[in-house]
Amino acid sequence: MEPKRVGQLVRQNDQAAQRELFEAFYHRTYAVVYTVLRSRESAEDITQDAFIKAFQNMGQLREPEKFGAWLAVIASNLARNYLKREKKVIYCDELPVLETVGANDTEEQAVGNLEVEQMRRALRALPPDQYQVIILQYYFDLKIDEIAALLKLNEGTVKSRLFRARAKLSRILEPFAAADGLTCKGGAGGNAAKSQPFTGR
Amino acid sequence: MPQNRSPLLDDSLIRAAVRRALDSVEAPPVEESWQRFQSRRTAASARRPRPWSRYAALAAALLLVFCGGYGAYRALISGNFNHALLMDQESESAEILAAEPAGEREVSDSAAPWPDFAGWSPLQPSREAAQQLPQALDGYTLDTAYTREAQSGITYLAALYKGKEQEPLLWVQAGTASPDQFFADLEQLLQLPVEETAADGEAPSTRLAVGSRPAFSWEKDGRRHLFIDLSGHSSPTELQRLAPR
Repeated sequence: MEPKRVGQLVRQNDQAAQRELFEAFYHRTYAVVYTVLRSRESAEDITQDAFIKAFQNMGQLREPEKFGAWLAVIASNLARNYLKREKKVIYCDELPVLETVGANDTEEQAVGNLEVEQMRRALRALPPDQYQVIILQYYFDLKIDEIAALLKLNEGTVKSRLFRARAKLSRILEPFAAADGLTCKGGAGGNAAKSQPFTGR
Repeated sequence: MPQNRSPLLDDSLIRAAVRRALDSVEAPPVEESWQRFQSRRTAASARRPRPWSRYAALAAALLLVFCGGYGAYRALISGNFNHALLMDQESESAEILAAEPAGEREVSDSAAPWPDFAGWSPLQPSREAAQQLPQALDGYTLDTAYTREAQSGITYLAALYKGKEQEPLLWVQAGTASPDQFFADLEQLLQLPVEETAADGEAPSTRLAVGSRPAFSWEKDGRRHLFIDLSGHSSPTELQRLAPR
């Protein structure tokens, strides 16, 4: 959905506008929550709570065009609170290995599924504050200053969180990156950054 | 040279991987989710507390604290706080008071507790004693009777009666005592303040408060009598109706 249209709907904020926003942002918000909680039922409840909270506090949103990212922040905060309340601490290494490779998958699909699952595991391993900035930058395409404004942080804090998050993701994905010929930057010997597909195929 | 830092993944690589990881999550159908969202929102708005309810709860809590504090203060300044705590559990009058349903007691928290009958002797059943005690009080039956000599040398009789709902009524009698002497002796014997609330002109009857409980005193056949409603339910006028003519 175009940012301009999002802004219009946010300002309108009636039943019809809310429904359109819900339909436009439900999947992305659910995905952000599900990646943290790993439970479909809880993810659905938290996502709906996030929409309720967002619609009730629409007046606090300074840039209506950023509704999706704002909603994701609300949803990830609710997910974090839910984990605290339920005292569920999910450690990356303790996650059950999911059946990501189906019997009928082609080799390409199977490799792709494994990558996706590995990335999800890596994202779940991030602390909540780092997970938020990664999602906002790479999933919602926000710039550093926009993330800082949304989270009410200074830009330096956002940069350091992003750096730590990237370092942690790199550590987790390093073995896979090495096996697949993944290109990294800032490594030993000043290797130049090269953008390649995740699998190196 | 060994390198301790992990190499950082390329930005575009992370972006592609994050998108693929999140876009591949299968969400429930939006239409169904919207229906569930609507009902959830309705329930949430019904549960949401009204803005004034917080202030009402705070005001109620403050009132409770104030009333409790004031009651404790009154008990302390009347000097009966420790007495109330240390009251003899074995005394019959205390047992009667404790047996009363709490909701039915109308005596304020600051009312002095009824003392035990320490120093009093049980009255031995005898024809003479039976003649002196009021036997037919409307709605009350005789429970126990005591006797004691005051410092003035006057002998006092006391009898505890129970009503239909076990409400206690105390009768006290002394022979040949002036009202002033009678009330002074009562303060000494019962260890409770006696206050005259109203006197009936020339009639030898008086409405009183003994330890904050309603009481009525009258004279008959040259003897002075007193009723004290220990439950605090009756007014002195109602006690007056009980007094044998």
